Amino acid sequence: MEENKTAAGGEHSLSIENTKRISATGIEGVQGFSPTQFTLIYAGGKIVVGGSDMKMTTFSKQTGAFAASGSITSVKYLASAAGIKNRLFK
Amino acid sequence: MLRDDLRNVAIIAHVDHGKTTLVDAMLRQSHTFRENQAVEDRVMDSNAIERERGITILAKNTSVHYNGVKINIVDTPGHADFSGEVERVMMMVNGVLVLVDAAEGPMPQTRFVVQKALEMGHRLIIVVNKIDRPDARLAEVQDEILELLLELDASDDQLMSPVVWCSGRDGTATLDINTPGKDLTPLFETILNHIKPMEVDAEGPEQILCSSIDYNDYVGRIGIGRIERGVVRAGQSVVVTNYNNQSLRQPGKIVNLYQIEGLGRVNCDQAKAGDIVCFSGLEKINIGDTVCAPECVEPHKFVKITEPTVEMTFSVNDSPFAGKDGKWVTTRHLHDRLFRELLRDVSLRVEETDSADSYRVCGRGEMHLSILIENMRREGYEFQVSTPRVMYRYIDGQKYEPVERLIVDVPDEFSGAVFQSMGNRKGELMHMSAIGSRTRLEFLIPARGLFGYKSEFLTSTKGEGVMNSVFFEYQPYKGDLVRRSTGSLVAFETGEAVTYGLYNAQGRGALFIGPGTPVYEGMVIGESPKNEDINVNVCKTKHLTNTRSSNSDDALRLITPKKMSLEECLEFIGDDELLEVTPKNIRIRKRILDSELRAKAAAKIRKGLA
Repeated sequence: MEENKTAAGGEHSLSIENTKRISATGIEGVQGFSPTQFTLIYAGGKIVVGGSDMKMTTFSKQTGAFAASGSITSVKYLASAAGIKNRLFK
Repeated sequence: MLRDDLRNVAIIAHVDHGKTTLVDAMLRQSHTFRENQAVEDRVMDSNAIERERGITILAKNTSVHYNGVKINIVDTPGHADFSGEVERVMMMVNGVLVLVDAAEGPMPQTRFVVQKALEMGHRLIIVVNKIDRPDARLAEVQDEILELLLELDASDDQLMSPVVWCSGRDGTATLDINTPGKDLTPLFETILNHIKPMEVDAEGPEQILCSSIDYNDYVGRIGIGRIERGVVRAGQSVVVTNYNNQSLRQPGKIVNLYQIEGLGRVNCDQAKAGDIVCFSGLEKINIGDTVCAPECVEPHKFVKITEPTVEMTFSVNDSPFAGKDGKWVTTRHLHDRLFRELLRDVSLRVEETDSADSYRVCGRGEMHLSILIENMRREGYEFQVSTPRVMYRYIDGQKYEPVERLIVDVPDEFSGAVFQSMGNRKGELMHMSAIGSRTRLEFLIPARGLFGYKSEFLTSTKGEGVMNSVFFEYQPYKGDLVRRSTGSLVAFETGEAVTYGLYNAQGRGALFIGPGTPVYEGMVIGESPKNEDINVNVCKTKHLTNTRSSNSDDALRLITPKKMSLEECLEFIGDDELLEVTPKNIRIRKRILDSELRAKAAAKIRKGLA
């Protein structure tokens, strides 16, 4: 999966290896982690990751590094509310 | 003058990392006890509650002699809630042993206490204890300690602290992990070599910093502290002042002077700068005071102790069963006992309220206050307490609340459950890493989010989780929390609970009492799954008519009642409930006992909210 650079906040990148390992940078928070879904917060909004038997292996709010393992089936970027508003009222 | 005949050392560590066991071993190996003297296994834990809970609550002093050098050892509380004690002890010593469990590694309390020691520039000796544990992780723990020191900006000298590998239980120590130790000699040698002797001024005018207080019925209040300057003599006149209250000038006389030998106190005529002494005769001496020579009254700087974050209301027991168990039940007894506790516990605050029968008691966490309640209960006191509340602050008109740093170690499979709970309690994940087959999660969570979480945590991790929290800072209010989603089963008749009545009540929820328990109207006897209170009559007996025989009562099967500890009761009670504490019983009750008055009050609140 290609990197998705955002202008705002820390350098964000996300990579998935053989749908088995996911690692990301520029992560500001983790919400509602469960083996089938979790949500990451980054400067541009939220990232919803779906899969099965997923397990978080690393996270540090200080460095923004995140890693998890398991079977990853979907990754969805959700722009933050501010993002949507800016685009609507450009 | 160099005091190379003396070292003042504190041992600081996390709960249950073996601090007091190691001190026992040091005392034994320095021949403090006669060979035949019967010694209980935890020599320095004199308080019964400490023995039961296996934690050190009060910092105690003891001393050993090794190669002509007297080593004063100060044991420090292992629990984050008593940190007021730890900060004070740091003033008395000039070196610390940082004790870390070879399997658990550094935990929150270790982090907090090491930070205090580093801030004061103390030299450290790292003692990795319990190396005899099968699950010991020696190499990783050493790295984790180094990481902790780096994180807390230790100086280069502190980063190069020596590491001693010990087993307090076996009484052995070694500097090289590959060669097993025979006794604690390497530890004693490291203390003598690494912790420098103090440079003291024994000629100047006397000055003692009082870091701890004790009480004795014969000599009254006893101050404990280190002599900062000069030579102090028994019978000497002095003046007491205080760094934070420099106008204080209390003349007095040191009637008795003691030095610490082994576990006891020995009378002495004089002591010089560097010695840790106990002194009596100054009735109003307090923690943080400085005792000076009359000709040179100069207060000594005293470390600022962080404020309490949790409060409870202690009030006189006015329930129908009041006065049956307790020896001390009046407001005068409660007042004297609470204000006497202030003398010994720097982290506590007690204030009178507009009602003469109740007092606002503030402490450093649920456990701090629950141990005070347990102590008072065992001393024969009877009283009521409210649910614990956090102490908010208003800065520039905005509401701030205390936030704690929570570190949780759980088996991997339970991290999801912990995450779920943290989400509901407004905990924010700060750090997560894998440690072998376990996961270590670090959260910042509001103090009120931690109320009642301990038992939930142990249940959701099947008892395998380790959880520790330490006050972090005040942060803006994070919004309302759903504290308790269940209601209470409330008895509405006074009498004795019978099987028939309980059998009907147990259909409505989990019961806390069994047959034969005396109950009164308004007493909470169970928990109902719905978020509303249900009035039940557990004293209802079967009407005996000729169509039924009395013994068919035996067929009624009762579920075993849920016995709740003091902490669980404190976690359970809502804002409209109180906990009645007596030497023999702990009962939960509604603030308003009468069921009709209670219904009217509830209706008024609902109308007020509508």
